[in-house]
Amino acid sequence: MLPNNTKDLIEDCKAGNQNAQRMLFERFNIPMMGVCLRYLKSREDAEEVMLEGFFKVFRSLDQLSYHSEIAFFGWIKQIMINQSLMMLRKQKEIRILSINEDLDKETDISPLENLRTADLLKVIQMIPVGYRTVFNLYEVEGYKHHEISEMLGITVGTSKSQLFKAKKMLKEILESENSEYGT
Amino acid sequence: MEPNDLNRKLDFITEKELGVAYDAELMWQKVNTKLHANHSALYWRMLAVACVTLLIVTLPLGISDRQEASSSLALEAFDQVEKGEELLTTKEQEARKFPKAKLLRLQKKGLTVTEAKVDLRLRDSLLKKTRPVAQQKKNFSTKDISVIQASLESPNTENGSTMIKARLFASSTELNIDYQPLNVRINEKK
Repeated sequence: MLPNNTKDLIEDCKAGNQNAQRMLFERFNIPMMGVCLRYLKSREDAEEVMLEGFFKVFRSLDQLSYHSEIAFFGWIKQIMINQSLMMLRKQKEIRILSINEDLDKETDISPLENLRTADLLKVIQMIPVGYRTVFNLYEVEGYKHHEISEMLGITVGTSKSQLFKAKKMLKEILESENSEYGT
Repeated sequence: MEPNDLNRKLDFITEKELGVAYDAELMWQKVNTKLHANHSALYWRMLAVACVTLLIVTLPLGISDRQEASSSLALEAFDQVEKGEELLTTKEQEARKFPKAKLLRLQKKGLTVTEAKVDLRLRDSLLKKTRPVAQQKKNFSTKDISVIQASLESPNTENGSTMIKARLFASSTELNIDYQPLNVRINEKK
């Protein structure tokens, strides 16, 4: 009989219980697939990162001290994000673009919040990987530019420019698809 | 990192909303296989490391033991050979057999005490075998001779010398000895 609460499930996983491991995987695999899909170009890449990510999760469980369900979710998500960024670096997908525009000029992306989740993911996947990565880290995960610059090995200015371009592109997509997504 | 609307929406995405055909069961099989393959690989890696460590730790000891054992065997063999000749029982004899200076010199060359002793024994035995034996003329005195059957009635005279029959103490063998070199007084039977 497997426990319903995540804390006990984690303890069973640490003890090497395969059924508990499977249950933990089943509980978190869909949202983690969503995380990988919004960072990576294809389903195949996302699956590869998921495989490596969950492998790391189970291997690192021994060092984890459980605090809350939200914190645990955040921990797994962070592993998936790191794995995704590693793959992007490997594929040299994060390119530095210089943009001669006012980077501090605000671009309204509030229409994105009105989109349904499936559409939101689809729109995010439409923009180039470099822009998308910074957009995901800044707008979705809530990182600051200096944190993003450290994570990606780019300057703060580059992070800002990527975000600016991402937002601009998203706005254009939303405007062109106005009839479908609507503002 | 404050959760926002985008974050909340995307984190609680459903399978249907993913928009891709995704086989979770197959993915789990892959994760599980990798986990156990890794456990197995880890087990074998640890076993291999343990074996290598054990080998590294015991190998020099083993060689040293074997050298010690073979040295001891060699010593025993020498002892067996020389058993009839003399026994090393006293420290004085030991010191005579293995002079300290020689032992030290050999030890400086990297040999253990036992190996140095074997080496000295070996040298000694080789020297003994190759040393020429000097011819000695021995003069027997009367006390050396237990029986003199100087058959003076019928002396055996060959090449101008007179041979007598004599037997030495501690020997049962009768010898034909030229009496001339013998410094013995022979009383002639009257």
